Amino acid sequence: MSEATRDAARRFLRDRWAVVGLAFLIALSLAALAAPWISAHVLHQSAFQLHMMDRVTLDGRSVDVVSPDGIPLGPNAHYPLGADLVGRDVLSRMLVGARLSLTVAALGTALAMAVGLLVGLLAGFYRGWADTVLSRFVDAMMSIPILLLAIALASVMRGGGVGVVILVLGLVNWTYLARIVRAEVLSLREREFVEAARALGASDASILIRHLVPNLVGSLVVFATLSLAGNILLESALSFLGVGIQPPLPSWGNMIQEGLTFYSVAWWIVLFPGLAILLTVVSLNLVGDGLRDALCPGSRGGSGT
Amino acid sequence: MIASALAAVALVCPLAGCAPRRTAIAYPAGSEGGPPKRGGHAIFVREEDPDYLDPALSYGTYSAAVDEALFHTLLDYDGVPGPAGAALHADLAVSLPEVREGGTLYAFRVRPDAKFGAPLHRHIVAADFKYAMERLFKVSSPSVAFYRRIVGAERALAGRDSVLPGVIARGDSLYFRLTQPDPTFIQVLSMPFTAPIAREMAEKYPGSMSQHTVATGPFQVAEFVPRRRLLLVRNPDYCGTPAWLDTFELRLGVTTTNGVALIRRGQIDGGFFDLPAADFARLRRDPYWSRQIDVADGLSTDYLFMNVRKPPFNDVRVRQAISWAIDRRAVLKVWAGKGVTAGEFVPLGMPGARALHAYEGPDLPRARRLLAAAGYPHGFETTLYGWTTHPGPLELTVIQQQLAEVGIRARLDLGESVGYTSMAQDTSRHIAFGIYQWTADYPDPSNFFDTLLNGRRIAALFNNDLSLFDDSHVNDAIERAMATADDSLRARRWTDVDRAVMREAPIVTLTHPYEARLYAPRLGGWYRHITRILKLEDLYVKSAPPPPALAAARASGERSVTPRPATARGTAR
Amino acid sequence: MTQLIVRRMLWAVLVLLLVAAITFLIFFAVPGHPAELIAGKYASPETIARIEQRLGLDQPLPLQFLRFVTHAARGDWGYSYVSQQPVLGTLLVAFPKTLSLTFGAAVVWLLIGVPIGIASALKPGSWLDRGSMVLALIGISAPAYWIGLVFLKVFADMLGWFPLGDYAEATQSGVLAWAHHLVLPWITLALLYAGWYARMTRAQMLDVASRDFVRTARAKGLSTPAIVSRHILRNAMLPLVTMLGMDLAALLGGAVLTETVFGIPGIGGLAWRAIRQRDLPMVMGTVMFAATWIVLANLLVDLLYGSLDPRIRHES
Repeated sequence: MSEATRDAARRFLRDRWAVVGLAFLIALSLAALAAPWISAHVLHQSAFQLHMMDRVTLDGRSVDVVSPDGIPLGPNAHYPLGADLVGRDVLSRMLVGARLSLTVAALGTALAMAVGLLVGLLAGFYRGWADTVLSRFVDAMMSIPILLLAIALASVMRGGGVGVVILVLGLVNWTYLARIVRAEVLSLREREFVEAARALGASDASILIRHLVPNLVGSLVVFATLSLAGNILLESALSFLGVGIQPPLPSWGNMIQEGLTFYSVAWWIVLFPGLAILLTVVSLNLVGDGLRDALCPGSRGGSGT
Repeated sequence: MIASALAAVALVCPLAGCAPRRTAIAYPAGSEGGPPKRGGHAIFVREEDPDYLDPALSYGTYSAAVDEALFHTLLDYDGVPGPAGAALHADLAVSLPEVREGGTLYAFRVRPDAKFGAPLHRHIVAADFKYAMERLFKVSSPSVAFYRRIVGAERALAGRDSVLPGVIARGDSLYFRLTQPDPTFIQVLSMPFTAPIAREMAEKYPGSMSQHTVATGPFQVAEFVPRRRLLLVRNPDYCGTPAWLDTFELRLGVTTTNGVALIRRGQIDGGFFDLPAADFARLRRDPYWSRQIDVADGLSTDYLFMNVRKPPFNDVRVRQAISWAIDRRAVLKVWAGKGVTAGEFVPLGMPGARALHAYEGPDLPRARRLLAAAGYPHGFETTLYGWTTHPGPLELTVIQQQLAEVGIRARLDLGESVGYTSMAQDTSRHIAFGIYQWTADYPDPSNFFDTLLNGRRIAALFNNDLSLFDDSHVNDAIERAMATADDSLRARRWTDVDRAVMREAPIVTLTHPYEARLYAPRLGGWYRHITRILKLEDLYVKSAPPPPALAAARASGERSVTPRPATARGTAR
Repeated sequence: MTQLIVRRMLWAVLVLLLVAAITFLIFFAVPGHPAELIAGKYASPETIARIEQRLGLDQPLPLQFLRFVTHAARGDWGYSYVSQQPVLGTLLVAFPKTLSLTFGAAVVWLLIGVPIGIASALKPGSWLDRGSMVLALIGISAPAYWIGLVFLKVFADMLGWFPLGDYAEATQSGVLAWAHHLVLPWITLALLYAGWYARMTRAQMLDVASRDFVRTARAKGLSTPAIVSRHILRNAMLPLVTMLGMDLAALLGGAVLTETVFGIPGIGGLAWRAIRQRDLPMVMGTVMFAATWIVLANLLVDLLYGSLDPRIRHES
């Protein structure tokens, strides 16, 4: 096992793009963890403090952070990536947003994995009625466009804050994993080692946990990485539409949404959070591809998630 | 008209330092080029279809401009900008009504030359008005509450009767009998809901009156293709002052953003939308286009309500503390400066309104002292409810921070506008602290005080007194002011009510948001009427210098995209 | 075979019923008074009660659901609470817009994605391959709404080449205006899918190229172009066509973000607005409309594969 892991790690590290992606993600996570410290000590700003009526000195002149008709300062010495419509520092908000977006997407993915794994295992292992009922339910869930389903759920469960977003991500994204797991279990359960375990009198639960799940780990890791990328996009889309993370908490998606009305005069509020989403998701996909090549050497890039 | 910020709202002139009282900018470009000429074609755009082309059912802010051009009724507002537009004149009636029997009987005579437009071309008689009034209750018109004081209306409202004995029609004579005097009755009577309806058409096309309109105003419908266009032509059967334009075209399904671009390219003349904040900020700095923006007081107030029956808001000192804690100038900034700060409940464009400058602050030490005196020296925790419609979230974020400065820790709970409004109006949901916006339905302070703060109107559902404020002195004062016929005395009484409300602070007034609209230079006669968005019959086409080449206009627009030099910002204050 | 078809179709109907039930349940949880949307802000409780009765909102939930299903089966999808227009009519008016967006974008993504995928697969590991795969990755990683906003800012607002969103009816404004308005949305939507198709094409081609019959062909001395066009491409295209069918079906249910950003009055925008406004009949209509396409595409793929590959038929 450890030999195989070392092999996989070696294969992964040989993929230069995947390593670049991983490095970016690590840097981003560190920056997100240190967000309060960076904001306070490096930027001398806060992600939450509004500066509606404040003035700052630029080139020896005193200027409003937010003009009387509501236009904030663009990138400058005090605000490296500009101020937003209520005079908050865009960079500080992006750092706190990174923390939220990553956490929410990660927990959402974990929930989706748990549900998907459970449903897939049950359907694949017991077949028969359990399989029929669960599979039809999965079919129905997958027949509703994922964004519509997420919007609908988020919009009726509003008021619960970040927890609701995690729940929504978890509830809409498990179906695909359930299908993969079911298919794998269907083939695994016929293999000799399962027969052997059963012959030795192992219970269903122990077969599932000791024998089936370990064989799924590779698929699960790859799925988790790619699904994390998908969940970051989905969370940002929900927040962009106003049903995801609610202000004053910043998320990359709701920052874009807040800047929308002033997009033509204050482009920086929209541009930078979008770039952050793009880079993060690209990195996750690079790492995901790298992991797939490393853990499942037989398969090739390109299947959809 | 719509209680929420959903409806794009009115504006006036945030242009630096403009006094709130100068509500309308008179014909910025319309005054050049001599008197209006008859003829011509104007093109407007709008994203949504008009809700209905039926005077009984239409209630959308921007549908009103079209409905008011199609369906005229007994009286009409004078076609002038500013508070002077609140004066009424006879339209399909011979003269203003005779008010008898202590203000409970209104007697009208229908003009002998009043006629329905195509395809009927027949004389309008008093019975057509009576039919229209009774139809309001039959089709559950959104307007019925306005007409509650007509004898028999309560029975009709409860669905127990389909006739209104209080509306009496004899030939060309028309009488309205009320259960009690109501000086605002003449104003609610001037809304297009009361426009005459031909029974023969309404009964032939009960479900599709929007497709079979019969005009009683200066325009009639030549073509209506939903989601595409609405073409109006001058109605030759209209007996009042005819429209200047031959035709008026409303292209539907065009977004606001593109509408602005089309106006600037000279391809259309205007749009039924509030100029978006960014375009407003950009264009008002452009020497050419700044003259084409109409900024006007739309009679709107944006405010916070607090449930005065629930701690901690049951203590007047807490409510006053919140009023002192808010910096209204900061709130105004999220409205792109379109509007004025509100130190009074009644918008300043309202006839007889007075600026009270209450709680001009912020005064944080005073707010803290008041909180301490009320027993909350360290503030308290609460939830502030609001809507997601722009600029709601930003505005509430600003308020949240300002409350935090005096120790009030407010959690924000934001919802969709429609859902939020009905939730706030449902007393069983116990929403204690939230934001609201009210835009006048007719130009009288009673539409603010009686509708929103008269404790005797509190209802379980669809309650508009969101603070559950029920002060018998204030209630009496409201009812006394409403019953006052003399205009200046009435205005003084309303100001007294406003002062009392500010003192009791069941609400925290924030801003009076204004509306801004953009028109093409070739169009004349545009102005924000105090109750009508735009009087289509007053529009005319003039010869005007063509807009500057698009590239030039864009360049000047772009300049404001980059951070502006400090001097420009400094002088803008 | 007939039995298979009938069984699959019954399953499809069952799945649609389940979709309807899920949607219904989600929105049953919503507090508030849908009738108020119709009644307006001065409505009296009596008016509300009358409207609720007329719409059947006062009945128990299973009855309401039954009513919806039986009416929908007869083609009566009800009326929007907000606009009072028939749901089906509104859907049919919005559909051509979504159709225009979907098919135009599909042409663009096929034109971009498939050639890139082929070029990459011909020289795996080359500079060209790596470069285009990174580009494809960026395509699938970018938030569509943000790409749309950037395009609008650069190509519409700054350069003025295209309109700032909006939709032009071909029958009304002409085909040129129609296409002019759709260029940016097409490209925005296509970028995402072009990434997927480039990766998919490359993967399929490499997969096929490693199979025995290709080695045989090569051993027989066939030229590389002949092998690629005659053997590899043909075999690699089948999964791509399947994927195209599924993607088109999913998009016919509306591209919420692209439609929202560009102001295209299609199905996606309709659904989003209906959800926000709690316009239940319209929510049911749009969700069922979107789901129907997906279920149909699944059914088609199932049947095609079932008839092509006897093993699949056996297994289920």
